[in-house]
Amino acid sequence: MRRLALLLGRIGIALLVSGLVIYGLSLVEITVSSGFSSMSGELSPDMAVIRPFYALSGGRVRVTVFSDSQDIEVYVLKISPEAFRVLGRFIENITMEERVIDVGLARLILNEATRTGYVSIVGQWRGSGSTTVEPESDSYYAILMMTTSITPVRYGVSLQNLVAMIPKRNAIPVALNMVALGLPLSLLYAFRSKRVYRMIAGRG
Amino acid sequence: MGKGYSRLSAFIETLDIGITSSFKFPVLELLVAVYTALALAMPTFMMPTPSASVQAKMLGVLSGASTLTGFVTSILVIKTVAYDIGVEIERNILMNYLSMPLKRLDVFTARLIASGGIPLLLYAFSQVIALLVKAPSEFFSGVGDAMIMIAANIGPVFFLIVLMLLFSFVVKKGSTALALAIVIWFSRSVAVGILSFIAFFSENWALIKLVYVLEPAAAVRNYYSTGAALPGLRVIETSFEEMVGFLVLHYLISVIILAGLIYYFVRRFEVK
Repeated sequence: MRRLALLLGRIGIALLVSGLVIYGLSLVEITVSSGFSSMSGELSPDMAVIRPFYALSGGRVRVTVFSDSQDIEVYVLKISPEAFRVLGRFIENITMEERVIDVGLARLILNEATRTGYVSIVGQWRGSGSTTVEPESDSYYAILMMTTSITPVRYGVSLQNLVAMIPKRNAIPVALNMVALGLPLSLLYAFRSKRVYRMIAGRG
Repeated sequence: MGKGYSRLSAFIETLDIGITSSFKFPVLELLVAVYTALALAMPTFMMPTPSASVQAKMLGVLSGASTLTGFVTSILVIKTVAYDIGVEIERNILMNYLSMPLKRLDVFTARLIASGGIPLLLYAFSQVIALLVKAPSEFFSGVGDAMIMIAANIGPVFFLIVLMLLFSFVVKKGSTALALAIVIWFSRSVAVGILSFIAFFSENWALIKLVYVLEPAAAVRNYYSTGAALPGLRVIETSFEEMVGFLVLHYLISVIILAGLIYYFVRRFEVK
């Protein structure tokens, strides 16, 4: 029985240590890039470019637009799922890929953003710029670009998905459960181990 | 009480001796900490999409979690099975176990759990922890799929354990078994890589089947993900039944070799 208690005790210590490691790592807020997507092209005056993307809750997506012209208007829009479905009626086969659309439709989407709550502008600038979106729940977003120049302008877009290395809200319950399970078991080792007993009794 | 109780006690004692000899206190406890840290520290590489399935997300998490832990487990198994058991046979230490009031099968099982079972458990544990921390909702909504993915990841390690045990019994020398184990294991990894490459270009279904049997994780990736991690192995789509079939076949090979080893140890194995 002593051997069994020692074995269970070691399992307990392992769980305890593991729980503490998870808790310790969750305290260190490290954000890592878990995915990258980029595109580039030329924007003509009568056309606009829309690039929808999806962001998960707890994660962050950094949107960066590069352009050598200040005539390019960039909008980062948060689109509700309902509005995204409606958008699908206007833009055929809308996916998470970039699409060239009529500039009139782009203006319509922007007007909708100011008029209703289904689409909201979360980032807006001219020329090169960057913004980071952090949704509270899984959400659809889109980058909308158009130009005020009469000549085509070149652009480049990058989307970087950033995630917390260890999501704190998930890690802490797991760590607490492991510590709660491991602590009583590890006491078995403490009480059954001769070495620990001698240490406690002051004879080691 | 009586006979059954004493046999169980002797088994636990043998198991504890085996674990303590391979993983002295606090080596095992530190290894658990290292496995947990390695499984969680590796990021999950995937761009979020609304259509990404629960299984694809779990696959992404497990892929990241098994990168370093898989390598560490292979090294650990080579040491604890090939070297430790090889040394025990070489130096006649195994005689001590056989002199206990235990059946040979019990000695074999206890030694196998202590040397191979513990690394295997550590590996599986790290994967479950990674899923619980990084994709808990996906894990609880698809426990069955998660188990298949974990089984596919630990399958090659189980095969490695059986192979190392075979080497130890054949060579009966710790250092030789260790050297042979390293050569054979890395040759296997290279062979799987080359076979995958040839399968990609030749689109040979028989060759792909062979890769899937040797590396069932590739079949699982093919079935669950939208992009295969091993390039080209989406040439032919696999069904759920086929994927499970490859996994079962992979384990069956290991089990057959293990059954042969058990028979040899129980009936034929002679200590010097």
